Amino acid sequence: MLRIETIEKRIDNRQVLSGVSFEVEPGQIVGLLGRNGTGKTTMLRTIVGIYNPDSGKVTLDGIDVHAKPEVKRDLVFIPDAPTALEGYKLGECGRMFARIYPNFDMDFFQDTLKQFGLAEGQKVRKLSKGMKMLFSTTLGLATRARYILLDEPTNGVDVIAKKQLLALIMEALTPESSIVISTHMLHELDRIADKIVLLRDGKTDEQWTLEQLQQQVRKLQIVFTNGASAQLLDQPCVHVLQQIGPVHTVLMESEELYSLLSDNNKLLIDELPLTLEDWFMWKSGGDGDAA
Amino acid sequence: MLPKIFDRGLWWKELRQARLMMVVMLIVGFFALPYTHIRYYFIMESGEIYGELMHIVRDLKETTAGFWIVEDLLSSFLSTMIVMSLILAVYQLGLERHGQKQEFNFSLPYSRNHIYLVKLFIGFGIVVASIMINVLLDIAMLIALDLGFMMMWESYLVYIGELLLLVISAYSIGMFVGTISGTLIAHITFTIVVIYYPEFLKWSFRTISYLYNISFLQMYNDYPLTTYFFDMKYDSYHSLIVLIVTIGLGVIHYRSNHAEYNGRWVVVPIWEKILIIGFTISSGLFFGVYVHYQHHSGTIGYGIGFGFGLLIGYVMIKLLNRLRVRF
Repeated sequence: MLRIETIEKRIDNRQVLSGVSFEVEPGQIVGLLGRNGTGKTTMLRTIVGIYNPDSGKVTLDGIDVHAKPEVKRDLVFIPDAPTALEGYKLGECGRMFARIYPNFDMDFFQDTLKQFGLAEGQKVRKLSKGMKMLFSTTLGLATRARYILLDEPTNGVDVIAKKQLLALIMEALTPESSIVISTHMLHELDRIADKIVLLRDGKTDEQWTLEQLQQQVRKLQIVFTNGASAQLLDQPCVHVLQQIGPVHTVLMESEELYSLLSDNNKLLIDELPLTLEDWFMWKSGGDGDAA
Repeated sequence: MLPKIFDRGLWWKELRQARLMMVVMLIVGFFALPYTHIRYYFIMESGEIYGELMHIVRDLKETTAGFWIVEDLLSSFLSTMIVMSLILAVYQLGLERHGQKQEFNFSLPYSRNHIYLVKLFIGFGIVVASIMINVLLDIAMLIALDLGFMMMWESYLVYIGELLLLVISAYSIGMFVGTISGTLIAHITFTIVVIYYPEFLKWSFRTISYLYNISFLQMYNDYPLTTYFFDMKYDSYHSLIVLIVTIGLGVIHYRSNHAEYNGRWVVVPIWEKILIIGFTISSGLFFGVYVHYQHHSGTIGYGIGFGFGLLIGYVMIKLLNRLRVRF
């Protein structure tokens, strides 16, 4: 298990991370969410040892990653662009990683490159943005490391490459391996993530499995008829996503309030499917859209 | 420990990164040493006894010790290889500060000590190989030129040994400077500072000791290692100490590198303070001497210049320190 324990990190006199903690269990896809500048990339870079934490620690099966970097043979970080590999040819990268990571799956690497129409003799810098990400994700997955950290894998990638990337990630996941994705592509994460970790102000504000989230939070469309007061919604457990006249679209985190509203015959209530984006808007301080 | 050090993945990666410099150093070293004797050889082969070959003949007449006919050449070979080894250090560490190369290194399953030592060993290997291959080629040419019987081979080999140690220690200084520099420009700048700063100090101490009658500043030339890159008169003992100390300092500083500060002048916080203090004082020393010689000689003129220099230097370094440079 990959365990992140109360990580703190200060950069340029700014507290970027102030007590981040979460766990990644085998077989899980964990979505790391947060607005721009909340410390997602810093978090991933600290996990993998690029940055040293000011306090706290990262352990992989109980071993401190920063004290024993050898354990990183099971922990791979794929940044949002393979800038460091731009001087290499694709095949060279494969051979280099095969020397570094003992479980490197050369067949998977070569087959996947072929599938995407990439030649091993091509230079990484000659690839398009989308192809670069497909390539670096393939390289990372081919290490067969048990924990793979992906930083904004779909940033600047077109729709087709995005689909290919997601399919690649899903196909590569085994019951022993786990993936942590820092991303803004909430629609996709909705379908693939098992667990969501929300970073806010450098802290892990909330952690949910997607199943828990769907049980705890309801998305409702409520129509207030016959002069019913919308003041009922002025509560911390309610977030108004949209209001058009008497029609309110809300997120609600209270069963009691839901029952109370359901029993009120002046209201028309319809339950809508909850999306991660709705929840993210609420928890990350989105103001909603009132008309 | 040994099998751990010789991890083939890390060695392959670092060798690939430095391979261009390996070729460049071999070629530059070739033109700095054996090329001259190869030219002489072909001149002799062609039967022409004139031209540049006359230099050899003249030297042979003037000195009895055959070894000294190659001393000037070896001396320029030494300077060339020192410059090349410093460029190699910049190539290995300064360039790594850009394009997220260091970030990539730190994400790999190796400790920072391990990464630094592998870089250092590869650098040593390149330096030794480029020197030894060219020296062996030169020896072959000296023998082919029928000058072998005149050479003092023992002195020659001792000189080569000292030269090797000196170049390796200079390279290690360059690597250590790289561990605290946050950009390519910073690495190059600080390397030049390390080479020329002792000369600058000598120049300013001369004025201060004369103006204020400070006797210990007059003995500047007697301080150990202050003119390391210029005199080259130190024996292997000094080079060995420099080598060991800079390896130790390099390992410690590389381990405490803050990759998040890449792009700044300095990536180790304590050296940021040293940079600010050093730059400010140096500016004071410079302006003190400048005002003393150009505008108002004497202690008052020096004092005014020194104070002004401190102020200007402090403001400048504070502004410079805020910059994040791309290269």
